[in-house]
Amino acid sequence: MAKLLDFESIDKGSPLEGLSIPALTRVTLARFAGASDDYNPMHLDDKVAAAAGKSSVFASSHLIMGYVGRMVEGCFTGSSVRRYTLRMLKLVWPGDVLTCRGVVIDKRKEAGEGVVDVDVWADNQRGETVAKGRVLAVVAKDPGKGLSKTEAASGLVFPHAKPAKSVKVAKAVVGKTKKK
Amino acid sequence: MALPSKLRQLIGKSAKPCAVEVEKGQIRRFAAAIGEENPIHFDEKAAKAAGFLSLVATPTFVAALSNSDVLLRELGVDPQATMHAEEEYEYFRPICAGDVVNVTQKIADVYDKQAPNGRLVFVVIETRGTDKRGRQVFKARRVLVELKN
Repeated sequence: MAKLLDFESIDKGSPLEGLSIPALTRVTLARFAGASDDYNPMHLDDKVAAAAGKSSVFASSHLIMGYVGRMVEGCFTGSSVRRYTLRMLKLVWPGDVLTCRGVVIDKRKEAGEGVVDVDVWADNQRGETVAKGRVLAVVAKDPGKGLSKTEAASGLVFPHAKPAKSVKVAKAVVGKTKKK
Repeated sequence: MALPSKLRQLIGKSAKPCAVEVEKGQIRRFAAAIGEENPIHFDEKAAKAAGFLSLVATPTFVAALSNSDVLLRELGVDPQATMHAEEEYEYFRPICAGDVVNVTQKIADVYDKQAPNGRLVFVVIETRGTDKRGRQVFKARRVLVELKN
């Protein structure tokens, strides 16, 4: 699990922990269409995509936004995400393998809060950047301490989840198997 | 040079406001579809232990509340003839299962730009979510490029 970020320890150039996404399939696209209630046939029907001059169906940009968002959620556990922007640069196709990455580009104190700007992007297996954007987050001012109540009152704050019982059991079983 | 007046007239047009009741199943399905595994999106006990009232949505769940196809169709723009260029989410508070989010949507801007193979028309759609008390939940700004007109 990602460690909690704080204003003192973070700095320009600090990379985020990246996130690898397994190869996309048509099922990945269909599943996301259902989950997001967006049945644009460009993501589902090869014939419609071909009629529009595309070689096959391609991923919804919201799916890419979701993947980069996962990295953001994971890296900013305990921080407050205030803004997340993503620009689409290239289409993403079934078979593509994406890697999400990020790097801190600025930190500053703003209205008493520790603000960081982070560039985020996703690359495909050919090393092409398919989407690029920016995250603005408020991080804890001091190492080992969380956000103040005021800081946590705005934005998206995902605290470290205490695993539910079922999860604990599953982990314990895995541990036992490994020891054998 | 000038943007066709038909397109300029779209600026300020809005969708009928709607109230969306956020469901647990929808939060789970959305999280699973992007491969997320954090239990706060799947297991109510874990979400409550983390301080939420119920399952909490992933950051880009806003996409499921801000579909702009209906508004575009009403305005005579074919959503399939547009490409998504950019999206911005501004977050004020998390979205949890059981929340009723009031969603309003409008065309914030329409502009054109010269591109190598002709002029491209950009449509900016702004979606805002507020809670029962009228407090802001999210603001989404979507930039679409119209491929042909």
